[in-house]
Amino acid sequence: MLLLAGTIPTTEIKLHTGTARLDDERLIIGNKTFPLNRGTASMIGAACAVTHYFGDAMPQGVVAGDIGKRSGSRLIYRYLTRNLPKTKVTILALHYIIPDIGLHNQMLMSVRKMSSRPYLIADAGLMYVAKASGQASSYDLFLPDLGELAFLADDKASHPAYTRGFLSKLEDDPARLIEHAYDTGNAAQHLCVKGKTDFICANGKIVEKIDEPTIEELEAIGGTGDTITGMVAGLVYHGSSITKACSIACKANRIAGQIGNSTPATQIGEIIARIPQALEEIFKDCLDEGNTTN
Amino acid sequence: MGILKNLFTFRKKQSDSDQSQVRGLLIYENVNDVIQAETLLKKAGYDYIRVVAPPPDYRTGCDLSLEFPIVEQVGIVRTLEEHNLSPMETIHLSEDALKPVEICKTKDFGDYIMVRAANMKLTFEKVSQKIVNISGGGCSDVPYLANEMIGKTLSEAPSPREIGYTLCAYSLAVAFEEAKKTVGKT
Repeated sequence: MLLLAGTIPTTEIKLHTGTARLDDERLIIGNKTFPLNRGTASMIGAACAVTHYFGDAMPQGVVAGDIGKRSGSRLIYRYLTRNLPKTKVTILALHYIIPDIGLHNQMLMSVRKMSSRPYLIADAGLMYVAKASGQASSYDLFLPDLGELAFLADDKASHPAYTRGFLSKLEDDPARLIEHAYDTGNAAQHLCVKGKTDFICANGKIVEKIDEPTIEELEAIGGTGDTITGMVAGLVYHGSSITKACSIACKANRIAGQIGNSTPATQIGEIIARIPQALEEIFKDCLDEGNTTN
Repeated sequence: MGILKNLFTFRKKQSDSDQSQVRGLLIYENVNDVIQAETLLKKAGYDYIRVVAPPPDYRTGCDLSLEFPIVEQVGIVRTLEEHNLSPMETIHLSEDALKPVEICKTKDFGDYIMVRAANMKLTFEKVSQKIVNISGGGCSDVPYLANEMIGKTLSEAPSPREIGYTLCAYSLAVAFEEAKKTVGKT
């Protein structure tokens, strides 16, 4: 089972779970409908686009309303802590949530009680707390942008807002930041660093760089990192290795932006709508080259 | 007269030095309370207080605290109490605390400008000054802040300092203020 969890910007719902699917430009989880906004909804939406493309089982969503007051974040941590040992989750992707070191560590203890350890993918707030708690290496994949990579490389910072200046200045040299992040034990086993050039790393080494097509406007569009996380989760669920999934997702994101002639004002729903077409282009090329999703 | 002036200067420097060495921290449960307390204290004339990271034992992963000269504790705490903003705890500080990022980077996309502070990016259209996108961040108020700010001009949009709750909101506020300054320069 592919399970994706994170907060949704509303005060209307508490904890909500269910099978997720896309319906036009809306996300449906169980019996509730959500706009495809940046954040958790974009991540789950992108994962749905991938699972639907391959005809795989649709993912499960765990969401809670939270506009920053922590209540929804706490519900998610506690739900996962209580229920994970009873589930057959194989891929767990965790996203926008308020960092809470104590609750995060309890959740990770529950993961360790599962009969079969799932792939752990963390982005956004969950990635921050995984690093701040000193548990980064328990995760299979982090997906930072360059600012967040500098945070991972800073062994003193507990949140990207505290990243020290001398590390932020190294953003022009991502390879050094990647090295720092691994050396200080603050990287997951794999990193997918999103930027003008995307860097895919495994166990301390850069294994692939992706810089085409160049769509610089994607950096300004809220949710373009979230869609990569969702696509990676869907691709790993389909059977891709983590590095291959990152490679496909980074390329698909760029192609989806290119197809729609994205501008800095483009909204994320437009990108998600083009994911199937972008995947089609990638797999057409892969088949031509004799490659597969693995 | 010269000796008296030198003595006065020496005492003043010593006093400044003491203030910088003996500091305390006001600990709150959430970032929004810290931002409100900072605004209140600066308005009350305590403009040398600083927002910093709490020490490791007090960290949850998304938190701020206020650093102040310990000699001012009584007045500062009273001012906060009068406005129902009493800290959860007041502690003495023994080593330098980390400060949140205040430096911004700006990227020109032609018709649009993107301003980034730490992990938060805000993009606005040059002509209309309308906020068209907010990206980055990871705390749960980021999508909420985006919903509240996108589509509004820089002068109409609410400040993340007023409606946000987390460190991501704090960084977005820094980017928002820089965007306003950028518009002022053009």
